[in-house]
Amino acid sequence: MKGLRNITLILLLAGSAALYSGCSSGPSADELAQLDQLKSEVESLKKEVAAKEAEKASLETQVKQKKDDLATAENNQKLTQERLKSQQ
Amino acid sequence: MTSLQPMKEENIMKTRILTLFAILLVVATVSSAQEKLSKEEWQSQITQYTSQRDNLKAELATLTKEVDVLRSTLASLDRQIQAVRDETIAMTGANDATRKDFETRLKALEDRVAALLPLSNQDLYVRRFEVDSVQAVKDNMMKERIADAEQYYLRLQKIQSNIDNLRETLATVKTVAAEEQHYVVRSWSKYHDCLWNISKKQQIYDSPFLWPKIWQANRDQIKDPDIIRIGEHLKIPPAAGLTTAEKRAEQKYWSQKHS
Repeated sequence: MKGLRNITLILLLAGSAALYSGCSSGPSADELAQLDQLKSEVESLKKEVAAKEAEKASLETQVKQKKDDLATAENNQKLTQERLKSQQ
Repeated sequence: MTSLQPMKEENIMKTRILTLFAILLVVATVSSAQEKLSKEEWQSQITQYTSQRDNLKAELATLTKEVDVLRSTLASLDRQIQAVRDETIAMTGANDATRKDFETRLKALEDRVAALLPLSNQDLYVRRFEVDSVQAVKDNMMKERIADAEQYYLRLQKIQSNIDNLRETLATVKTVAAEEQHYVVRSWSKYHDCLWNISKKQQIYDSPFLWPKIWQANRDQIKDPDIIRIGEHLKIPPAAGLTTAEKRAEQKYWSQKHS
């Protein structure tokens, strides 16, 4: 008799736990899909930003190099002018 | 009494098994419930990710603008550099065809000098007349007015510097060739003198592979190139690549040695 009572109590406890977890409110499947899509959109944007930053860094280096080249070309022009003058 | 005892024990065992099962069921159910997202948590994540997405979009737009500006700056700098270079060439009175022709000849000259630079002393000695040739070409190019354009002037200066280096090397080789006309063989035990090692000496050929040259120049003394005697005065021909006869003698030596 005591055994039967224990078994009933245990099953009742387990049943109520299952009922509790099953009945708690959560997002729908559509809402979860919306969240997943948002997450993947964020990941994709992060990659795009990283690629753009790398491109920007590369272009900045190139611009710096070209500015040096321009300064060299201008200096070369000045030196050429002086050399031509000295020969006249 | 004796028949009731096993039944009681069986009941206790059943109760224990069921308790264990129930505990496991409760743990599994509750943990499953905890893994599920609540509506509030979902809303919070949606807000968080939406804000992150908007910020990233704004950042990307700013970066794209900056990259466009940099590209445009780069193109503008390229045009400016080309314009300055063109003006510089124009100052020398050269036209486009003259410039192209000069550039082609300058590049060819640079390549000729570059090909001489890595040569060994012996090979350079053999091709020493090419050094005089590139010097003449360079001197003639320097006389042209377009050579005064700084960019070409600098390249011609660099060529001259390389030619000077080649001449210095040649002077050393010639000195060695003039001085080392003879070599007196010393002991193997102390000096490891053999044709290979003598040829390898920096003041001789600086290359062991020219040993047949010494052998062939001293055929009167050396019958077997593996045997040279202490005190022998060996003639050392000027440094140069192996002649056909020397190569043939070397091949014959190796084939006899390996047969």
